[in-house]
Amino acid sequence: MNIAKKVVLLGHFGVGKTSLVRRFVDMAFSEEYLVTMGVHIKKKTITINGEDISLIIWDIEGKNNIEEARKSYLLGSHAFVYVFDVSRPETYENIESEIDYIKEHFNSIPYCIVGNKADLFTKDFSESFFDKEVFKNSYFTSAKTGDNVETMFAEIAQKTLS
Amino acid sequence: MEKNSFSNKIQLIQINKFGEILRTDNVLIELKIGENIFLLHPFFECLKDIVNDDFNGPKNIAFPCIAMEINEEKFICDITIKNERDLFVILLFNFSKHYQEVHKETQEKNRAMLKEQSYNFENRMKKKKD
Repeated sequence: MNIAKKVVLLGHFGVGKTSLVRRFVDMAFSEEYLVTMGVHIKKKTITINGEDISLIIWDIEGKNNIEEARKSYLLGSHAFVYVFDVSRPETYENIESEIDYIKEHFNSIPYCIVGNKADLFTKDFSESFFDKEVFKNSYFTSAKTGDNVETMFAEIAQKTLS
Repeated sequence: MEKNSFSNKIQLIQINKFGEILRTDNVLIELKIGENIFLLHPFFECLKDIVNDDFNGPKNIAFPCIAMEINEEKFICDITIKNERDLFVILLFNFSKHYQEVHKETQEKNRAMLKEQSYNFENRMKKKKD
């Protein structure tokens, strides 16, 4: 029996939400930035523990605060993926309050934090820069190279089954 | 099939809680009575949770700016779902032109901000090396 789970991507504009979805669903990437208006919805079926799960991924327009997101987009969500851009502090400096918001309003819904554009890491700027407690179990992904993208989506899918 | 009674930009679809199409005026998307709307597009598939008996949310829900491609046609619609005693009315408002205009302005604004922030990042990296 096919299970369907709604996964909503949240985060500021330009962090790579659409690129992550394109990488995961279409196995494609483009350097060109195209703003997402409203929401684009894509679906991909993966297998977790021998079971087919259809992830219905809501790629919503970038907002600086989750509170600004249209409430109907979040209705019926089975998981949230909060994405930030490792190269732009503006996109993660309020992340603690964003996660608090998710915990307060959607306390039974699993979430994960994703630092995207990890291909920009260098010897002097790496994952270790994100040493605050809130980043402890974060994923660092690159939609450009594909690093960690499948893993992240597979693990969030797994969480929706618990 | 009913004749359109609103405008050429608004489609009315009536479904039951199983997603079966009971009525449609086919203004935007060609649908058949008896088809299952949940199979049409992932957006409609998500409505399964809204039209079932366990749903405790609002009776009327508005979904603005939903980008869809159906039967090789692209739309950006505002979609409203109304619960009318176990029958559900879906209204699709085709605002593609409006959203495409807004898209251009937002694209320019965001691109400018990204350029500035990218410049700041490169400067920070240079300072770290020095």
